[in-house]
Amino acid sequence: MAGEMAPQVGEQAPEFAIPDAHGTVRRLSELASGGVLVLVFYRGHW
Amino acid sequence: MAEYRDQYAKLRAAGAEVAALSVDDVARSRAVTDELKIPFPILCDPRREVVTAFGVLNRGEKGGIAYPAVFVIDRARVMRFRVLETVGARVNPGDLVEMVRSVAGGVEPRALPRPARVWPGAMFLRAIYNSIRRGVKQPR
Repeated sequence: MAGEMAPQVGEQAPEFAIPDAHGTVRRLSELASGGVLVLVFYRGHW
Repeated sequence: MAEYRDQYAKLRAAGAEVAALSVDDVARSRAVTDELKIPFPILCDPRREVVTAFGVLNRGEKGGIAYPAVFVIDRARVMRFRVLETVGARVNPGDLVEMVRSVAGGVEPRALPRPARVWPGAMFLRAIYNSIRRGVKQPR
């Protein structure tokens, strides 16, 4: 069910390392290192 | 995506980085980046690792796609805000600017009024899910 496993507010989000649209591997810790990351999940290409 | 593109400068100025994520592969994500001129990273999760770990895998559609959702995460990777956009309400990216400013400034963000109400809890989501799958039953 949606959201059941989702990290709760106040919990640490799981680290990941996956490619961006240019094939460069990006880590959550790197993306968030500036202080705040807005991470938007979307359904994908229409 | 286009809305986040349009608010990107404001979100950056408030102290945020933005990233989008779907189960699309690199080629499709590249196409979205180019077509919509997306200025922030689009992350590719075709193995559904991240959507699963974040609890937003929608198994019922197209072999599993992400539920639309927004997470605000600080530099210690602590979740500061989250909203799942399954119940007809969507976050207005412009409304995130103030929240980002709070998190960047080390202030506890106040929940966005509208998204706070659209996070209804597992029971309510399950009821909606079941009614979609099995149809609405009239109480006897």
